Amino acid sequence: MPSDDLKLELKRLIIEELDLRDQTPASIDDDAALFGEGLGLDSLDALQLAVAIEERFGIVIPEDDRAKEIFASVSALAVHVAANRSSG
Amino acid sequence: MTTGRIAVTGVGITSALGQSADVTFRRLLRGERGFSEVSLFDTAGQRTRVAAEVVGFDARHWEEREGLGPLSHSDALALAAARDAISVSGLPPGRLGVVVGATTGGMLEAEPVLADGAARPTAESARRLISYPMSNTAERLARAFGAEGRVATVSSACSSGAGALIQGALWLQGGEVDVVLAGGTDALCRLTVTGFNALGATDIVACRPFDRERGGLTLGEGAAFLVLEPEASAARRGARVLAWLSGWAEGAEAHHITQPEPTSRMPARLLSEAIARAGLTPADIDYLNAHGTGTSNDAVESAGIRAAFGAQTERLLVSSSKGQLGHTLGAAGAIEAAITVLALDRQWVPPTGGLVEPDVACALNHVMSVGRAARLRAAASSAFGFGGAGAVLVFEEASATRRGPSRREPEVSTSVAITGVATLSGAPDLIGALEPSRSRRFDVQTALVTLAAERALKEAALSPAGVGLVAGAAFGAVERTASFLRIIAEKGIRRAPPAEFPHLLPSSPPGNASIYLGLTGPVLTTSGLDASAELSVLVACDLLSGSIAPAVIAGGVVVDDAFSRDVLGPACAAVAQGRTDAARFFVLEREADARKRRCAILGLVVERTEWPAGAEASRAFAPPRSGERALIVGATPETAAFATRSGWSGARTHSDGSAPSDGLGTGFAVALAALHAGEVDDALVFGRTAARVYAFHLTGAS
Repeated sequence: MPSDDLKLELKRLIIEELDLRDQTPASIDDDAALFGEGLGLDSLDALQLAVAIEERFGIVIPEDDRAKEIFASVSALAVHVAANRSSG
Repeated sequence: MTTGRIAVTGVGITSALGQSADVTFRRLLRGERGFSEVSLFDTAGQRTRVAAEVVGFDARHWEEREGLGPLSHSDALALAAARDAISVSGLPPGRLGVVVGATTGGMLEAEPVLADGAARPTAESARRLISYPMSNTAERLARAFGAEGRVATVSSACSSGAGALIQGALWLQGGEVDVVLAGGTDALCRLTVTGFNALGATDIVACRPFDRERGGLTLGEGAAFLVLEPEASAARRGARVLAWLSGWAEGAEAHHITQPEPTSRMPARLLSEAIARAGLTPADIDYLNAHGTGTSNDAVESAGIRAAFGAQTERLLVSSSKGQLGHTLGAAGAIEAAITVLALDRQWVPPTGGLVEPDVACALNHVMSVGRAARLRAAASSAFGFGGAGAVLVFEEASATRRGPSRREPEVSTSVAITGVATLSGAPDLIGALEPSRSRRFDVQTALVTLAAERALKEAALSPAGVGLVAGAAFGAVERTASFLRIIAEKGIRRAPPAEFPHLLPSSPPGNASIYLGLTGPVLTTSGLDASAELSVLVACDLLSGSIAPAVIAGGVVVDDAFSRDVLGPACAAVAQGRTDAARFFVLEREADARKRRCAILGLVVERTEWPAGAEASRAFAPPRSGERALIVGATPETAAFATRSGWSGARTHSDGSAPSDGLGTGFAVALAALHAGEVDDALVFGRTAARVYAFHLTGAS
């Protein structure tokens, strides 16, 4: 199980990288959809988030359909990051 | 005034397939593709190292040959294409107008300086920065060909080149000039190559428009220019007519900065409008040179084509030139218009390079592998771009019979009413004044344009549908572009932030504003150094006279950044740049429309003109009704002769010691305030740069 600290870090990263000025870590539900409904993010946001995740955690998000599952929610992303991160 | 038809009497192309229109077209017909490994700069680490570069093109050769001072690669590509355009029939005498569509200007040359933020530019790199602004190309062409008439630079992302041709057509229709050299240019550069790479939008092999296996676009570079003149002018000098430019449409879809609106309403609307403006129906159009980039957008565009052409879609021949020439961004609309003209002139249709198996979602009557002889009576060319911009042009073959006027001809110098104005200066939290979820990634420049346009529109009590937005800006998002380039230089290509790139285009601020506000008329940026705001108002007046939009929001924006203030401004003699964070926008409408809706009119623009600095204006204005109740704003020693010749000798001169043009159209605001307060009945407003003088005659509403 990924830690709550990691989820918080991811939420802060998402807010900053995607300029979600009307969101706070508390307002983002761990299990809510990031794309489409939910936070209403789009494919441009997915690309931006992938670059940020790679820079912060050293994890390459694949360009294919697996990205959809990894980016499904903050919880899903945290699971992927915890399992693949190169350090810490 | 009826100018008759608009003749195309010259086309010039500089492309990856050839340094002339003739060579380019013949190689297009043979199905050749102009892709090669980029030699202009290092592309290691990009998804593809391939692009449509103009191999063997030497900008320095053109610099020495033309003797016009430093030329960027973009400038030189444009000069080569313009020389090619006049190589057969030359230019007729008379007032020449020059209009250029572009997106990158001298970015290729400026990139090392921008990326190396800490260092001071060397003497050579500073000298070269004079070619950085997009407006440099038009100024160089104006000097090379002695343009006494209008000169403008327009940018609407990847539809810029088509927009420039529309602007030129409007000038001829309005009697503003006697002949036009109009086109587009863009050089390859690290910014666009890395930007599209970061978006994952480039095909790793080579682009395959409309194909089932298409994997994105391939970038290219080049330029194209057309010589446009009235039918009578071509007949008088015996110039061979290649085709008639008979219809056009320009607009925006106010949807998303990169993604097309999925129902394709705008492409369909613009195709239909342009065909109707030509006095034709879809049954008259035999060929469409589509935008067809090779991305997933091709399916949306195909749906738009089917919606506009209905049952005629089956017989409409379609091809995209990007499979052979790459996507040349700001030049694409002009290059593809030039190809459409050549197709009509030679009665041959070029193919879509790279297209092997059409996607079912792109079901159209594609021309594949090699060109095909075909009977072409009329043909269209379309271009779309970031921010949701679009433009469509319709041409007819030279032997097409003249039809009666199918539309209301615009009057010369249509009187334009100013019905709203808003000024914003660097409030501490401009971005905070915007709705957060709809203004993500807006920078200060974009926030200024959006908020000023919103307030001006509100004052005019207009709804946004159909309204256009023309933002005047000298340099664009300099600091933000520099920051993007520094990330690439320091961290590598993989760290390039994808979501930043679409916000770095010259037209990104008005594009974002149009999406935020729901504006669906023409949305573009004009670039004219310190007089960008005056140029924007002139361009807006052109769009209104030509009935391209019911209303246009026009003005200027200036942002306080050190590079513009300390380096670019001095290099380009643009003194007002980088001095403040501010914007001022005006709402303009045709006077008749404003009267009809009984809104408050702040003032009327009754006459307008521009001319080269140091020369004499080709016309004079009407005198004020009363010399004592007239005001001159922005006068310089040079403008005195024009004022005297126009009978304004007795007028009072407004002087507060400020520069005649400050990037914000302040002279206009001063004149409007005096007119609105009833202090004067007439005002003469001047704007200027080192190269151009602008003049407007304003009167009160009554």
